[in-house]
Amino acid sequence: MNPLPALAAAASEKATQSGPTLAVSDLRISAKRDRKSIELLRGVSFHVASGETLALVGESGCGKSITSLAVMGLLAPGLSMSGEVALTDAGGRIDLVALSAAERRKLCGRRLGMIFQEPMTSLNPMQRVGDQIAETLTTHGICSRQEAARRAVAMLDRMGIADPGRRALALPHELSGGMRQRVMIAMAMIGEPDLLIADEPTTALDVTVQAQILELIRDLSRERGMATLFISHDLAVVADIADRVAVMYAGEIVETGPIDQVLDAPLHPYTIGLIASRPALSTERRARLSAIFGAVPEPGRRPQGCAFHPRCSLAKPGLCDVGDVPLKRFDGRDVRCLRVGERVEA
Amino acid sequence: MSSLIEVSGLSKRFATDQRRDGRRLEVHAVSDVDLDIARGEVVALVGESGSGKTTLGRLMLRLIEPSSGAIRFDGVDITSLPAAEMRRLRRRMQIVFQDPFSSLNPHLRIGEAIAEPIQIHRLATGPALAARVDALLDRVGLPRTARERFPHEFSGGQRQRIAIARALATEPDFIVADEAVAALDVSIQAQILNLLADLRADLNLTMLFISHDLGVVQHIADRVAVMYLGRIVEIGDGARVMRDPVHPYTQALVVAAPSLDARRRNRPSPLPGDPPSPLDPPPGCSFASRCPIAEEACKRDRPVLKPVADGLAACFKTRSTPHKDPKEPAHAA
Repeated sequence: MNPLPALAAAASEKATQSGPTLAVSDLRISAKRDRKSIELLRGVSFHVASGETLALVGESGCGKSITSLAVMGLLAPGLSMSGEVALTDAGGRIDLVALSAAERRKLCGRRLGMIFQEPMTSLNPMQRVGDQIAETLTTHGICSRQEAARRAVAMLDRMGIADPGRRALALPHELSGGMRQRVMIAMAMIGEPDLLIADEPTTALDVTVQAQILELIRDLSRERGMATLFISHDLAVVADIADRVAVMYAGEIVETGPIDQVLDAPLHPYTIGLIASRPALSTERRARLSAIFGAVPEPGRRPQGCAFHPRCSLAKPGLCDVGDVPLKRFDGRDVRCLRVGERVEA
Repeated sequence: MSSLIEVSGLSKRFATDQRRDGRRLEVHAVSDVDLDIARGEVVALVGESGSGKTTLGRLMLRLIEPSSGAIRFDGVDITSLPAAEMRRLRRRMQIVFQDPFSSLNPHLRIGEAIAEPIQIHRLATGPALAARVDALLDRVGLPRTARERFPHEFSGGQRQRIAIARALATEPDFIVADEAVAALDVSIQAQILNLLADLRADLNLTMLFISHDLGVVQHIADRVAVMYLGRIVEIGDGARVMRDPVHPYTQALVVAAPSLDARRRNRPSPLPGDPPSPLDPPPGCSFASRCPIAEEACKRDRPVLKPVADGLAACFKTRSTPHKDPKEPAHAA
């Protein structure tokens, strides 16, 4: 696939600058329920560099989506938040938390692209999809209407959509789910954003379309030096796209490091359990899966000590059920487990 | 092994409001499917959205009526069985749906929800009914105290256990599980898959397991049937189909499925394009428009299922596709 000339030019321009970096530090989010404060996110920190893809992975309720919403400035009202979310590049540092709605709109599409799971709710049902894609360019005055329309069709072509000129004239309901998702990705990509936030972008898609879209995100991030924050519940999808991964559990990162290291030799018992629960093509048929017993704690019912200890076969009474567990560096990554040192040294 | 359920030439077309050349267009959801499932066997149905797998599952239970073809259950032709007799037979065939949040009545206590099918089929009353509900709760790994509680008090995984208990309540022979673990988190999904494996071993259940997740399918199924645009394009031993697929579509599916074992390294390019519209299926092989090895003949004539390896595949070109096991060359179609 040849990159679009415009994208290639932007990529070489980017390469001469110091690339953009998203830095999130000590992000804390809590909700009020019955006058009690419930911690949803307990101090999450990470960074994503130019050309790099970081995946946040975990099961429902682990805090991965609320993290992405906070980065996008789309947190529901009524939640309280502290911590820093900053996008830095050669042009300076933007505090994403402190932005006004108008300032944020200026960034959206050009410096920030977003893809959500459900395309139908993110598209205007009454507007032709080609116009919706082109709008990013015309709104920011990047090019003329004609040029924007031409680039929108080129982008659809890039998405692997057959007959893109005709599809650009379609309304969202006239397209299949997979095509709508690709339209939304085209909208997010056409402004050549520095940072792409993709929250379960392929979860509703069939595997063959999913494979097309993952390849596309990979290509664009490589060509354009785009930083990507990728949120998913599916470790196998993450294995396909991420350079680094952060595994989340009960509002915290429990293990983070380079993707191959984490998947090949996971250190946190929760990461180990997640990998083992997934039936793989190599798993012997009808062998029992090593399920993690129990369930994720409900928000507000977080156990004392390590949040995972009630489900952990390695948990030690008197150690794992008291006090907070810090992230510690082990073997090239950060792990939130008090027993990991013993196991690694043993 | 004798078949418990057997369908032949089964088709379902849905009418639409769209017209072309004065004729009303129909969605060809399922076309000319033959499938038999032996007693105690688990057959998985895989394929992408719109491939017709859910429609086929519902046709087999006669939850919807076929446009043509026949369904035999335990030796009896049930294709046009009168409603009253069909209702009686339903005791022996049940379904578990994907979404445990919408498949349970929120106003019914769990005990009532599980007792309901037993009462409808008049299988037990009074203390015998209560004992049966308790036994079902034990069976699916829920505490007996769950009887007095409501669906909203349970997590997704627990609700799916409740839905399974309800499906088991009438002691069915045949269960259709339609994406029954798709909505669950992976650690909970493993618990439910283990439960289904236990139930199958203990109760000799026959199952049609509909799923889009090849890892899950390979784990649970004896045989796998792959659907594309309303037709079965390949069927065979589950492990073999996943390891060594014969049909080019199955090959593309296996390659595209994300897996921890085969990461992006060495991954061939994904399948281009989208399936053709089921409103206007092509005359030849339905996969020809996306197939990397299709020839002119594939676009003109429709391949039928022919023996390959341990199963069947509908492809003219199976002889020329590489088959890794030299002892078992693919038969030519």
